[in-house]
Amino acid sequence: MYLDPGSGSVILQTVLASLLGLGVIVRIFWRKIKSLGGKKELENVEIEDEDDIDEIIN
Amino acid sequence: MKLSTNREASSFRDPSGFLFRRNNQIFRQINNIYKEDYDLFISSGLYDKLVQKGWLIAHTEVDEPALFDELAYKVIQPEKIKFISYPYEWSFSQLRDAALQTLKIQKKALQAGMVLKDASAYNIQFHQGTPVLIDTLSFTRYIEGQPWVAYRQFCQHFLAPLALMSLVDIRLSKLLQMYIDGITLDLTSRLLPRLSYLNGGILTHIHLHAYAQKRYSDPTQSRAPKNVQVSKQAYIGLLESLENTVKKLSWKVHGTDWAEYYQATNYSDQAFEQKKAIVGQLLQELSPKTVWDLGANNGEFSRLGIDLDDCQIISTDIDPGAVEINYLTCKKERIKNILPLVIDLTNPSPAIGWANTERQSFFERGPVEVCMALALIHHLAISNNVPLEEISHTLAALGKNLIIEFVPKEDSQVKKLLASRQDIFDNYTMEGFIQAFSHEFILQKQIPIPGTCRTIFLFSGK
Repeated sequence: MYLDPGSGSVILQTVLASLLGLGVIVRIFWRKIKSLGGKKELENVEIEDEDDIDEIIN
Repeated sequence: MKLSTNREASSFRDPSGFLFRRNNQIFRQINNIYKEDYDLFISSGLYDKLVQKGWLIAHTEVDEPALFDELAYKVIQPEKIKFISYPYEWSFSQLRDAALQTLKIQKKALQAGMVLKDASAYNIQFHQGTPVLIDTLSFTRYIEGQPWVAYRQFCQHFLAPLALMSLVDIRLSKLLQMYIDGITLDLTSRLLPRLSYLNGGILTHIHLHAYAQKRYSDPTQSRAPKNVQVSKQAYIGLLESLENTVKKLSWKVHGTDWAEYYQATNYSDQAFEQKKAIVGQLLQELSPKTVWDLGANNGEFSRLGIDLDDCQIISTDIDPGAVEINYLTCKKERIKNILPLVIDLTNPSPAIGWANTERQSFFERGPVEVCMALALIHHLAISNNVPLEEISHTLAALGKNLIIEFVPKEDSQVKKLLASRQDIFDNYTMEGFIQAFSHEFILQKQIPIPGTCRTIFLFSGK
């Protein structure tokens, strides 16, 4: 690694980590519930990105 | 190790490799130190995926001898970018699109088990109308638990200028010219309005980030945890949060100088169409490969060149609002050969960075085959007091041919410029103009625009 990530930046990331990570899990969980309920996604714009997240995590 | 003169001046920070120029072609040497990452980048299919999406510049591996053989793993030849532009020359949406592209690439990389090890705005260039990553060596293997090394760089290069442009003043993009590694977060935090603390993304990634940097500025003294771990979910959460923060930032064109200029001029629709026909015809006749449209406003006249074969048009204006409209129009109409840029011709981008060679000045990136200077001369000669000979001299250095509009003193726009000041411009007449320009140019054509007192001239360089 040739960049200095900066100690403050790294520490902030770890602080944010738990919160933001939780957000991602909740969102995926929520989407699964919605799809179980047979609700169709109306917004197609960001679909590709959304699928990406599942793919990255699983 | 002797530094060769043909190594690109901007390519020295990352030991993974560097760009060099040979016989007017550009190559990238990949060093042995980057071998493992490069092989993974290719074998994981990430390279193919990104190139196929048009997010990364394509390259071919070539047999070209390396510049520093003892370090070299491979030499690649990237597809040529026709014009290198810099973030301080981009309009709001250009920088925003570049930021979002960086995050999209990062997410795609993560799928392939890699991440971006840097997030420099200078690694993004506009290629055929869209932002692409040009640094093939930006990817490294993702190791679970490690934080994003380039988080700070992303915030400084993208988020800080976007926030300042959106929430304070659009002109603050020029701070990027002063701070080559992005706008420092403590300065950004100070400049942003108090209300920005209510924006969750700005609060965390700018204000708290700046605070954390100050608080832990000396890592040898701080009580920072030694083994920091950021889970994959958290990593994605961070990227998502940055993406949402960028997406929420917006800027609407209003109140800038020129954005509504065409509506406010005294051109009748008919005269405007005739001017377009004249300029369009001249462009067709010249059929150049490179055009700089200087003072292009919203790019209406640059777009006369969209059908020119293999022609790159740089469409510049001093007004960030006009350039924003130009970019959004080109984006909407999927125009690939026009690059709108914010350039103040009276003070164009200088050469900056290490040894004043890292980023080229605007003029260094010329000359071109055709310069266009439509409805510009009165702003240079009268508003900015540049003598006509000096304007001619400068434009002669920029382009082999010149399409220029002369706007005489009888024109209402010039009258406006002279209304509040003494008229010290005795030789600002058509004759004076022709005489001044004949030192370095040969007059080829002189076409009056019907219904106006203006004239279009075609000059060619001597």
